[in-house]
Amino acid sequence: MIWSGNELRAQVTKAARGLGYDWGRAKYLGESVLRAERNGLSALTTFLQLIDTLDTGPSHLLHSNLLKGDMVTVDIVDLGITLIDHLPGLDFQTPVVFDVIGVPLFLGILCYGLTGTDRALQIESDGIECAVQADRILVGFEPPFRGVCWLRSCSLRFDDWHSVSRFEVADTDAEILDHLASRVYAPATEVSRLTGAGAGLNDND
Amino acid sequence: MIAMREPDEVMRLDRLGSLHASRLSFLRVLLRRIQEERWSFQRTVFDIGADSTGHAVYTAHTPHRSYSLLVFAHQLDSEHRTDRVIANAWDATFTLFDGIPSAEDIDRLRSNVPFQEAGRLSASELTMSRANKSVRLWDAVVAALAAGDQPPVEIIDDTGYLLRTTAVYGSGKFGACDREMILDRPELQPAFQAEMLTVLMIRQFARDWLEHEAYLKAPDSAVRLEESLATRLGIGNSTGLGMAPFLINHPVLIDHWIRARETAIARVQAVTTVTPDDRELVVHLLRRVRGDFLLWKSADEAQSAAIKQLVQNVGVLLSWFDAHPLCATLWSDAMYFARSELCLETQELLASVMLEPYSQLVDELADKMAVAEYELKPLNGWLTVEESITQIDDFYHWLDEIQWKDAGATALLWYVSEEKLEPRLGVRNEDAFEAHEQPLAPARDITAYRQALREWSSDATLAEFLMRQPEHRLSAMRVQWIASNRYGEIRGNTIDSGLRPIDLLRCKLSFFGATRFDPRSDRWLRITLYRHAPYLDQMVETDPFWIYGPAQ
Repeated sequence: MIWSGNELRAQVTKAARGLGYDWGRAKYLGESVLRAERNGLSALTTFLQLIDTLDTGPSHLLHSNLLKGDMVTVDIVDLGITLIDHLPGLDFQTPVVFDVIGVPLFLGILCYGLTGTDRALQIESDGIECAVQADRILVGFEPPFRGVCWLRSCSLRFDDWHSVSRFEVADTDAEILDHLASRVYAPATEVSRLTGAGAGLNDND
Repeated sequence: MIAMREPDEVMRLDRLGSLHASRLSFLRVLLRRIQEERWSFQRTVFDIGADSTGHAVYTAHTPHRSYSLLVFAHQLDSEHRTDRVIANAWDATFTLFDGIPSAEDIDRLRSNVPFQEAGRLSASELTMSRANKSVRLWDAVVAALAAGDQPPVEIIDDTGYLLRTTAVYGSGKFGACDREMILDRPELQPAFQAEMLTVLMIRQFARDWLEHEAYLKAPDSAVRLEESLATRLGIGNSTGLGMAPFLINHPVLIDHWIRARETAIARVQAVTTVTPDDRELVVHLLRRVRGDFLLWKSADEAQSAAIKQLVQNVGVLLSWFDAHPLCATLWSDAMYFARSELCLETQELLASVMLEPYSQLVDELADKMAVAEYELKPLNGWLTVEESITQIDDFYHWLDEIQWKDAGATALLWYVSEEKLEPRLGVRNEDAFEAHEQPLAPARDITAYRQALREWSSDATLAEFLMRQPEHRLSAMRVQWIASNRYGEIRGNTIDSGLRPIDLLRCKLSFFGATRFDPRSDRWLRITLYRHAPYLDQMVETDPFWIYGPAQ
């Protein structure tokens, strides 16, 4: 099925909430998946591959993890969101290194984190280099699912860039998202049906 | 320079529930562009039979592009005619197509648009909508026209529309084109322009369909609806709870809408060279709209009383103008008088009407009523806990007015029913539970966020705080957005037992350009769009103040 960007963002947000994230991180995930997918990266697939391993509770990271980088494998959503929270205080003049499982989603989170800034980050993973800035991820090839990522600051780039605006979502992926999203919907009851929306059921006037 | 009204004054629910349309309302922005750019309109297909089924195509030609309204007409049994989101069938369904649809496009859309939420659109479609007939008026007017008569003006004014839309979806819904993809088109850059164009063309279709039915009923005697009567018909709209969350979920956008209007009001109050023509225009429009208010009926007791008071207050305001000759501070004096002596409805009416003579001060603000993606940035985690508390104290001081210990303060919750994903408002722990609660209670959530922050060291960073207490992320981001978008937050508790969601609805609908607000309960209302507007063949030469009713 072909989805619009609005649908992709909304459905990932609801699915993340259904998975157990608070609404704030769910929103971050919706935005991040959209950013990565707009740049041709398979962040939705990455997210769905990771859902059984994600910890929706408080962070397990320490401030020092972010300042020095950390080769310990950590939850990519926890790492990504915590990292972008710290972005104003990190200059990345010295490369920071992380072992990342779910690189396409990680790049999407970074891209969202740079929204509204004029900063750019260079990420090198397994010999593939890319630049991430507010609205774009400049990368020649799909990065590996897992890789050691070296992050350093770089200059903004203004290369020719094509944004994807329609998103092909496999039926099986859509079903998983629907299933997770359905957890945020209340079961329909007759009382709710009659009174919850305030309006009646017949409008022949 | 006159200072803008403070958010504490403007963003109260009772005032938001008293707003009126203005020059900055989206349908007026669209009509100004149509007139300035001299758009033309064509009805290229009208293939609807006596059984009320078929399709039609109307095309708007702008200087650079074309947009087509594709209509599918249906037979609808009366037991299926409901304005609720949970409906599965309608009298007519619509989509706004980007360009001119081919036969293949029409076939594809015939398999999808009539099913609305159950159908799929493509990047070629900008909106999707549906409408039901106002059955009593429709049947009465068709009968009159078929008999060669014109219907009485009273029944036209009583209802005010032939078709009532029950949703106009845009911006990527159900697979349609995302708004981001069309932002480089000047005609679609201001807010909700595709939706307003859709409704404008639906209004023409409603009239055409009505006259066509009368003709099919009695080809030898049928007459067309007189222009003076047709112009009194707008398009109705039933709006329920689904629209209310929009205002809470889009604080930056709401800031831009309210900020534009408040900027316009402040600019006009600062005008020191008020001409006799400017003053006369405002007085004339107040008289004119008062005449139209006399025809504004509502079954809702509170709204009926508000209309009665409004009509009386406009009379008082007109007397005030009679007693106050031209002076350099006329508009600020009038606003001061209204704030001191008149009801909220009249205050906001004056604020809207006062903008009319000043297109050069006001109209350019319409371009600032949309939001760019870069404005919706994630939170800055480098702020300290102390700085975050200060932001809350500065921008949310009104939270202290809410008595959270009262059971009524958290009595309600917003949820989405699995039944066609209809938004609903229910009693907490009876109709739905916390697990299903939508994040639509910023007053409660930011109060809790502030309390949690106070338990942290003041020099800790927000990032550190959120690592341990991630449940406050949405509130933290919202506070930072509001710190630079002060008009984005409603000063009110959206889960209080006394909440009137229709106040939220009216605020948004006034920005669309709606008139004749008619609450049907505290949770939904009906309104009219484009009443008194020109039809498509008269769009270029028309009275710019049509929204105030017929000139007397």
